[in-house]
Amino acid sequence: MIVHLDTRSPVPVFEQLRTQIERLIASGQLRPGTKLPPIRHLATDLGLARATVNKVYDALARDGLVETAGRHGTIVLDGSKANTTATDLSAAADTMVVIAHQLGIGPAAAHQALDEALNRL
Amino acid sequence: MTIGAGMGALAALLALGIFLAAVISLTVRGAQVTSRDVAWIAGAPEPSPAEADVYSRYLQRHRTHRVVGGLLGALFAISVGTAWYGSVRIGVGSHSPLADVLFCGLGGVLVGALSAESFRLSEPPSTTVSASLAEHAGASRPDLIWVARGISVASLLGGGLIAATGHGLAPLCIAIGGLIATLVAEATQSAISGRRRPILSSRAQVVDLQMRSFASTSVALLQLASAVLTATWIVSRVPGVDTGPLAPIQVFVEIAGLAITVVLLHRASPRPPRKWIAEPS
Repeated sequence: MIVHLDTRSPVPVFEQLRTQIERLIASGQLRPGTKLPPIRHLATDLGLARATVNKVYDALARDGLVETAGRHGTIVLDGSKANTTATDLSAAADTMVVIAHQLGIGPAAAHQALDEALNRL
Repeated sequence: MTIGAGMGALAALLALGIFLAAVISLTVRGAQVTSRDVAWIAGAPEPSPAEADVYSRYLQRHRTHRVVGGLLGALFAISVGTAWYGSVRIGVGSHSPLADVLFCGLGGVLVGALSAESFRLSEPPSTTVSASLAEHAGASRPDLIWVARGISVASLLGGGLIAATGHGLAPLCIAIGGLIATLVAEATQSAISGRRRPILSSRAQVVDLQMRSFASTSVALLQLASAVLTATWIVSRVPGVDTGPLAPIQVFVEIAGLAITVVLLHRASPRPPRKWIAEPS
């Protein structure tokens, strides 16, 4: 259960983090009842301000994906309310293909880069 | 009279010089890390050179900070003892704990451990950052921490009770001193578990967990040692016991408390036990 943020991306890190946690909940990798890491721990691990992580947890709570249980932390709820689809993956694949074309990278090298990325996680 | 004062100043300067020489010598010698030390903290007889280097630097940092903290604490106790009482003591007695080399030395070691753990894991400059959503590992010996907390609370209640019955504020002040040491230990545990962790290399994760486990156990033992020593001080200050039938029990508790403190301090040491031998892989 790894989240990966790109500070050069035009998408704000808040939105990147929220979307990735939402996907993990939707896919069932973060099961109902799972505790998300405390805000200060995740903020330290990602090098973000605590307020940013707090904002992400608040947004997830508003969407009904998590609930804040006081000192017991933030608990994952049912993922059926998550607003993610399998098209997210095809969109990402399209982006990768476009980048590979622009860089003049062939299919074999692109597949190798993808395999390496999968092995890193 | 003048000669006596001059001799006294000379003796004080000599003592200070010897103490500083001992501080420097102990700091340098105590921080040296051998391959046996590395094998002990790694839990493996022959870690790779890169991992051994990480363990070695971490252990060296821990030892240096703890030795410096402990010696500064001891220096503080010696200064207070000399200035207030004209003598230096180790262990409970009629003096204040601020003049106790053991109490202040232990406090200094705890502050040193906090300082050693207060570092940030640096990462190569990058525009991307990854983190795991898995929970950080908690304290490796929560049982010791809970016992230490219980003893600290009992000390505080005991000190408060003695103060409330009009037998002086000293025990309460001692309990508050112990509570401060407990808070330092808790802050250190928090720094150990909350620090940024590596996620993309499984070997780095193993090394990181191994170091956190060592530090967490060691600080838990220090916290318990501090709590036991504080409680021993409180017991030694219970009024009206030292002349009654309970006097032998009080003496026994004091001796047992000091012995337990020394044993815990020894076990919290950032070096392998004398008889420890690396198991062949």
